[in-house]
Amino acid sequence: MKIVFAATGGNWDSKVDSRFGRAEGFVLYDEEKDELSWHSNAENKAAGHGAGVQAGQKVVSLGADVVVTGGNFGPKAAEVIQAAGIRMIPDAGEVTLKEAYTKIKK
Amino acid sequence: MKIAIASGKGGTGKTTLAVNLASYIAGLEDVTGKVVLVDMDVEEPNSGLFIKGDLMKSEIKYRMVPEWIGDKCTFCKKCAGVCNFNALAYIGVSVLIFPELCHSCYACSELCPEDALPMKADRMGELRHYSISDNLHFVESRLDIGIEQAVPLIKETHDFLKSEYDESDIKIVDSPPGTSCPVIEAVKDADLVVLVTEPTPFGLNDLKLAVDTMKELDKRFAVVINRSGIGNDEVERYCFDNGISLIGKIPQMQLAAELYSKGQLMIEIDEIKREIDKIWRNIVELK
Ligand code: SF4
Ligand code: SF4
Repeated sequence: MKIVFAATGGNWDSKVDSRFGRAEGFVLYDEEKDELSWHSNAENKAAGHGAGVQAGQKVVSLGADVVVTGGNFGPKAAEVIQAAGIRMIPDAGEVTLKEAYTKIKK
Repeated sequence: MKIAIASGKGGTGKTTLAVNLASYIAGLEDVTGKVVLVDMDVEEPNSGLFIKGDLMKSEIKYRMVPEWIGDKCTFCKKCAGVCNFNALAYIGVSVLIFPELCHSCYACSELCPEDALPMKADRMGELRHYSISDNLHFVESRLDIGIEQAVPLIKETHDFLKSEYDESDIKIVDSPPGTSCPVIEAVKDADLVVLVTEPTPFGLNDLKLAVDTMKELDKRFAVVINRSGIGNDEVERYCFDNGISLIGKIPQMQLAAELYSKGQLMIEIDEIKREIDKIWRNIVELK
């Protein structure tokens, strides 16, 4: 399974970002390969409109099965993610990626 | 002649000036031709609260937005990332369009090799054309709820004016507030832009932003102070120091506020009528 976190940094101790469309970036965890990778969201952070659409498209292109954010996704991002059939986990809170991951696995 | 009334932010008396000025000019004997008040504050048109008339025409306005035809799409992925306005998302199983973000630029539609993104008409709002009196008309454009792009409707309104009126008719345009794209579109071909402000520190701050925008656009402009008497004289000094024409000061009056709240015109008050007259004479000289 591939899990994408909206995150403020690229390792397990980084915090889940409470924003989605304007998150610092996205961390992809590929369970099979046990690999973490960082994908900056700088271009969308600066976008005037439609950051949610692009962030959603980005998460889709990363091949996520599940996507996690600290707060909520926003209507446009949610529409994109939902249409792609990805499971959304909002409101993870201000926790580290590790904590969020452990919680999902329970 | 086209005169745009604008302001750095909302609530400064822009609409009040536009409505009263248009009504005043229409009543002048030395004005031949038609006077038309145009509300281009399409997100929140409210000139209509102050003048009543007969509806002559109403037109639904459309803009072009792509539609994704799933049957034709080969998922070639070419359209992913082509939209500069983030209005299109390619998500592998489908292509999503967000009409509220679309700027109708045709880029995606022209790029798609399968013709799977044809442009189709999408309702954005309505234009209404009223007759207030023999020589005073009123045009009001209103965006539908949920439509975020004001510029296409403002463009359509300009086109409507061109088709209905002569160069010599006097158009008074109530522009959207602020300094962003809709304002720039609304003042586009105005002979003169009148910036309305209040004589307060906030008013001055917003005025400066509006002045910068006008300078960038290389527009001829002048300033009117509304609610003159409140605040301080910093706006006046700013205009003087920067060589900006201050063409009128509408006094703050209890009676004016009462008329306003009842949706009536302020030119009923002599003192204000004289000031509106002065503003008009100055406009004629400057434009
Ligand atoms: S460019 Fe056209 S054919 Fe290609 S993915 Fe986009 S919609 Fe489908
Ligand atoms: S027409 Fe232009 S703005 Fe609209 S979706 Fe296509 S590329 Fe984006």
